[in-house]
Amino acid sequence: MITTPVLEFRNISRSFKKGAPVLSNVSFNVAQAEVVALLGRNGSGKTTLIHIAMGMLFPHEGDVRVFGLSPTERPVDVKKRIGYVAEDQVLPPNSKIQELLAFHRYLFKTWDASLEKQLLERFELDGNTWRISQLSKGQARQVALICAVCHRPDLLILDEPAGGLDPAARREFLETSIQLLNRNGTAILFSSHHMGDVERLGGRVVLLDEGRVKLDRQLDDLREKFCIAIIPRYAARDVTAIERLAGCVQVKAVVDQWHAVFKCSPDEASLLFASELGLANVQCTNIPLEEMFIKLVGGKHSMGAL
Amino acid sequence: MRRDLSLRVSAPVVVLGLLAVVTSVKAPNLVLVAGLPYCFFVWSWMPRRGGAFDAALPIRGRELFAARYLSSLTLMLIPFIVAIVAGVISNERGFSAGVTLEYMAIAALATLVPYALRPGELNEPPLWLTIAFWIALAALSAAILRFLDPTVGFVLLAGSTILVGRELWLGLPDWLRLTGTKVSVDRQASSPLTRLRDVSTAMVPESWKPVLRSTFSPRFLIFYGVVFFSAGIGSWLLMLALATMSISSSTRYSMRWLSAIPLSNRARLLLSLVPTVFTLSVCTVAGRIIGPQFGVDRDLSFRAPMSSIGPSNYFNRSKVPLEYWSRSKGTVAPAIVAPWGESSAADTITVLGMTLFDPYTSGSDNSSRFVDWQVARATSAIYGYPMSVAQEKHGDHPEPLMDREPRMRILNAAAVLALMLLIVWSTEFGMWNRFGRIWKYFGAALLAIPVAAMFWVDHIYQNRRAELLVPIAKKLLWHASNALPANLVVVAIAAFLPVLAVYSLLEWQFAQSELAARRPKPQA
Repeated sequence: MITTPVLEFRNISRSFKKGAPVLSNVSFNVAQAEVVALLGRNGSGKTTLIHIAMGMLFPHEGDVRVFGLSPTERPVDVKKRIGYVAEDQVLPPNSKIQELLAFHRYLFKTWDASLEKQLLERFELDGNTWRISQLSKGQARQVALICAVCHRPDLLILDEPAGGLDPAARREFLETSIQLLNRNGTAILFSSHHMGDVERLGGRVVLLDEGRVKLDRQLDDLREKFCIAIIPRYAARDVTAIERLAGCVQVKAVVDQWHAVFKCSPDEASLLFASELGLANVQCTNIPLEEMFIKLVGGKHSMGAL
Repeated sequence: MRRDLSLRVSAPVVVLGLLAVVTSVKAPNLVLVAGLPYCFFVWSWMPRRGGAFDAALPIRGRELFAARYLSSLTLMLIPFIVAIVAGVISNERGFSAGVTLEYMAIAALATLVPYALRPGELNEPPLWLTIAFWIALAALSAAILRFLDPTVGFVLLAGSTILVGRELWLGLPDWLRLTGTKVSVDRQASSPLTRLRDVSTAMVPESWKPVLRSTFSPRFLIFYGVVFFSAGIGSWLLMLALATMSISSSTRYSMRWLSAIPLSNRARLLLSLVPTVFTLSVCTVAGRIIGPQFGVDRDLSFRAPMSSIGPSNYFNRSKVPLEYWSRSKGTVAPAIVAPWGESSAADTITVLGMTLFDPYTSGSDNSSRFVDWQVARATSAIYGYPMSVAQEKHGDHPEPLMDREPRMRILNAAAVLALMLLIVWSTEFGMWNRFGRIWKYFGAALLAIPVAAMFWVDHIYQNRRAELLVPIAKKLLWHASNALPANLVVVAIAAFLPVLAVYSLLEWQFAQSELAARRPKPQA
């Protein structure tokens, strides 16, 4: 049986200025209960893509489907099943928290009052009579998150959800609220700059660079299939020998060492060095996600598409 | 100072200023009424003090104050300066440069007041405090305007401005500071505007309060007041157009949080129309009903074109608004001949190659009998029954037939409603997903052109100071009214079909609009 993806981007292109596309031919799906981290540098098109998924922006080319529906043609049917927290969340500044939650309770028939209570207590917002404009940035973000998750959406879209939250609050939210929803089958698409959050949530990583999908892999796959080898420069004077090794993606000089990224496990890379270059004891380790991110999109020495 | 942020918002303000300026040129004496919404625009758009960004820059408090106050003031004074120039050039009777100078001084002082409140802080003072000071200033200014000689009043007001400015300048610390968050919270919670919001939304169910608070802003009260006042004095179309444009843009922005909520496009559109089309219509109708109760009367020549300069009809004592003029078959208007043989050359105006003439003209050399005859004819055509010169001059004027007849009321209401919806549509048009940034300005221009045209065309046509589009629209509606069947239901259906068409266009446009933020600039 073929199940419809919860979210489907098909060849999405979008620009705000002629000749300078923000998104070019972006395609990927999010399946039910899948957690997808959308990564990319500032200006890489993450927020634009999320706005397109929410029906707030129109793609210039391509098609987006949420639960098999167009978010611009069937906005109500789509948004009933989505929870959304924007990067620059705009809540009505003069409303009180309780009024805003009452409005959401009124709109969403599936509103989970016990989850609302639980989250209000966790964020220490219960009994708070302040207006949104009087809240701190982090508190306002917490209110937005409560509004986004308490109707138990089928798809949760979070654009930089942890922005403005302190590390403890961020961890608490990500590890409890989001995973609580995900256990119930909610798909989650979130963009973030916090690699720790991405690694904690697991799932799949989609990396956007200059409006294109540069990487789309399972996080575990990334962890297992890529490694970094650190070779003293005196041991391998000819860098081309390292570059010629099978699976070598990139070699970079860092002070008196070569840092070589390999598309294989650390053990396989160690074996390659020993067998091909006669170098035993080369330090090969899994590559941290943050390091991978920097290698992939971090400037002109970045790696090619994987 | 040249690089100050405040200068970046000058361009759109100047565009709005031009609209106000045109109105001022048309009637220099109405400068205060015309300039009021413009001044509000300047005040609300100009960055006045600053934020954390300015606080972090090595700019002294005095420099920041001088840059922002002087740039605001320059824009604020545009309509007044033009009004003075226009008044002097046109040599209009009753125009007083002294009084306009007093208004200028009031504007300078009103611009200064927000800076004088809590001067050491970068944050804006609370709105209610500014408004309270403005009300006090308005009361004081009204007394000065009423009881003092213009020269004395100007000296007093300008002197006060200089004095307040000097004290402020000397009292400003080297570095302005940001107000602490806690202090702001307490201040905001106790502000009268916050309490006013609470009282005004007390009857609304809790779940709908966020929507109501997003759709209505206390700032709109100024527009509602201006539209009500304008409708009361019978000259309201420009104010209505400006208020619709401003409130519509502001509401659309403040309601953007609803775009992530499962509300249909239609529901969101209708919600956004409540503070604009609905409330402004109520204000207009209320003004039109209440205005005449307070003795606001309109004589025969209200909004009539100025008589063309010439010995025969310069002293036209029976001139009428343009919608009652007739079209001449040739370029020369026929002479108006009374039954007893006395005649007068008709006042004429050429519009788009057509010669229109006032069939009720009476020249300075005509007899009183002729003037009586013309006034009786004019009042019959306009009010539905003849009036003598004395009655017309001193008596109460009923509403003109063009406004009074039930069929015309329906048609007028539909026309105004369609115009307001078109204005809202034009703001949506600029947000069409197919358009880039440049089209946003095109959308604004699309709106500005017809509004400006309403008041500019008269200058193109020999500076006769008469609106052209409104009379043409009225005349067309009058013809339509006569052409339609007598049944009011049929008239209502015919009148509201175009409204429905414009609404459908607006609804379609609304569904195609994009309000999300533009692409952020990539960081290096």
